[in-house]
Amino acid sequence: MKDNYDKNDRFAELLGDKLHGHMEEPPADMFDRIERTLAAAAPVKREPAVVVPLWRRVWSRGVAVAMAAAMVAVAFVVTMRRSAPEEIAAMGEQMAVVAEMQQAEGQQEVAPEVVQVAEAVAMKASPRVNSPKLNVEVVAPVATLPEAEELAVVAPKEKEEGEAEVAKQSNRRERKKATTTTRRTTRRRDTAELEAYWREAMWDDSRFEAPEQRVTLALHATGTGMGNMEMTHRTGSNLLVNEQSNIASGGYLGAPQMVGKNPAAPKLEHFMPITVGITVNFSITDYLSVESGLLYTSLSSKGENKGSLSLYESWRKMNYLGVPLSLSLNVVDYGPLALYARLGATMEFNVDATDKVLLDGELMQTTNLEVPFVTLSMDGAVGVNYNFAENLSLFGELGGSYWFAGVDYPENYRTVKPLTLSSRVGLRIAFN
Amino acid sequence: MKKNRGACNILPPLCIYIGREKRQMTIESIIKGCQAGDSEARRELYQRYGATMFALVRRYVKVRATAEDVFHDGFVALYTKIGDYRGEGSFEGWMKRIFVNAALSHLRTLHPGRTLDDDVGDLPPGVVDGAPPEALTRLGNEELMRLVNELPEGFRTVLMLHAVEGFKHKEIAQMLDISEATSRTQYIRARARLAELIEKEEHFY
Repeated sequence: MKDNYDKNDRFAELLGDKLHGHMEEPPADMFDRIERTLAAAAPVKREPAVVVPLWRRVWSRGVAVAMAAAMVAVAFVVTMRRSAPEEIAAMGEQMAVVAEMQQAEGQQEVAPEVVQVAEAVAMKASPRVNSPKLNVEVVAPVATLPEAEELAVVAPKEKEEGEAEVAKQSNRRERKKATTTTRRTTRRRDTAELEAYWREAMWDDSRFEAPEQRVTLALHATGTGMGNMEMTHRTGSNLLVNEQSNIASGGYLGAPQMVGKNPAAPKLEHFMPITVGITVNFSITDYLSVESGLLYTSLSSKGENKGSLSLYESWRKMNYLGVPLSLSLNVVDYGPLALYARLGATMEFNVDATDKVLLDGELMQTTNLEVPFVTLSMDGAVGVNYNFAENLSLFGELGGSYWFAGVDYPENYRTVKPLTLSSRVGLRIAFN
Repeated sequence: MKKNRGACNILPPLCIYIGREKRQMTIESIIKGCQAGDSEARRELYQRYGATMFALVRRYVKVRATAEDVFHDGFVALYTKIGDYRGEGSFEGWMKRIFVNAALSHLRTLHPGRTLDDDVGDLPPGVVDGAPPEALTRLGNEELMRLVNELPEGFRTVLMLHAVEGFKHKEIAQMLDISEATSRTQYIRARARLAELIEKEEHFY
């Protein structure tokens, strides 16, 4: 480089010769100070990471996703399942009993009411059950188990509810004639009452209608906390101690201390976690429903230490896939608005956790963090659902969540604030 | 209790020879050791070049306390980036680049947005009115540094980069984000100003 100046520039030549080899002793403790800075910037010495083969990583995460999909599928099948033929047979037998009783009383043909009932039930039917006793082909109704049970249980009780006029009229003749309680009289009365029940049931369509079974798909985004969390600035005087103890305890790999005399106070910010998800909600009853699906959560934190001439930055990023399971209770329905409460838990699987250190914007090192694969959290919320179209609704929830962190979990928003408020907004699409 | 020195109990001269070999680490082994994070290698590198690098930093940063900070940052950057050294070119030259960049970054932080064109002298370019170059040989290094520190910052920076570190004006222009013509002009003015200061110093004494 010394040959770069003008050969005729004697001044530069002599000045260069004078100062090029000039030395000046730095302070005696300078090397120790440099070593301390390097020690603070060194990554946490951990046990050598176990190299997990790619196939095993893919397999384990694939199993997790498959389990989640299986949970969703099983819940879907259970909810959408229609009644087994056993219930249909039970109803057929009930009607067969009626026919027997009629035939025993001398009636040659099946009472037209029973046939009408059978036909009415057949309107709801899909599978067919042959009932030889009735000599008719009863098209069995397709009803869910709760529906069949309701009909079986409700029928005897219905006679006490209001004593329908139809029952009164049909039984009046028999009652007048009956003077003594005989087996035949009792049987005739029971038959008539049953017929009256079925006759009334034909006009009451709601008995044949299944309770509203709704399946809704929800797309939503959840924000945990009330914004980014900026940690209190630590003073430069005890910064090194804080950094060392923080690193030693498995905490945040923050930006190292750089300059001693006039450093900017180090800055550490945990960004608000954002979760996006897709969930499916199955109604169990009119008021109660269960929800599950798939969630994706991203956590990130940034540390910054600006010296007089260099800027150190540290970025920590952690990503999770979660499988939630929650129960929703519909509290109030008012037109298009519905108020509900939700309580649930989420199992989260860590898919990525890294620390990156940058010096003046240049990536210096990347460290993969060792974190537990599975973490749990619980959450509850109160929500409002607004049905603005036939099968579409918007919803918003406000609640809280608690995240169960393990011991020595790398510092992030959740370790600092495991119990926090959360808010969710989303869109629901209903499939009936 | 006598320390067990193994084979050295039998052949002390051999141990002396081995000790000398161990002390005189080659620069290659020092670099490798630093790249591996060896503290002893880092200490050896610091002891060999620390005084030279500190003097380099002092050429650009007037205030000693600030120069210590810049020097500290330069060594931390050196140890952190030593893995990038591929053996191409002189290691000392590569190392000096790091410290020069550290010093210039500090100057940029002090005067963000300021250009050297702001730092003009009162001598028109091309006119040298001062002591002859040979006067430099009559001054001690400390005296010379004192006079250099009296120069305006822009003059001093360009003068040191060109005359002492040996950078071309084209390289200086890129480093300082100025034009090559500005670099030449600043250098000429700096040289003239320093010559004037040396002449005043000699006349005073």
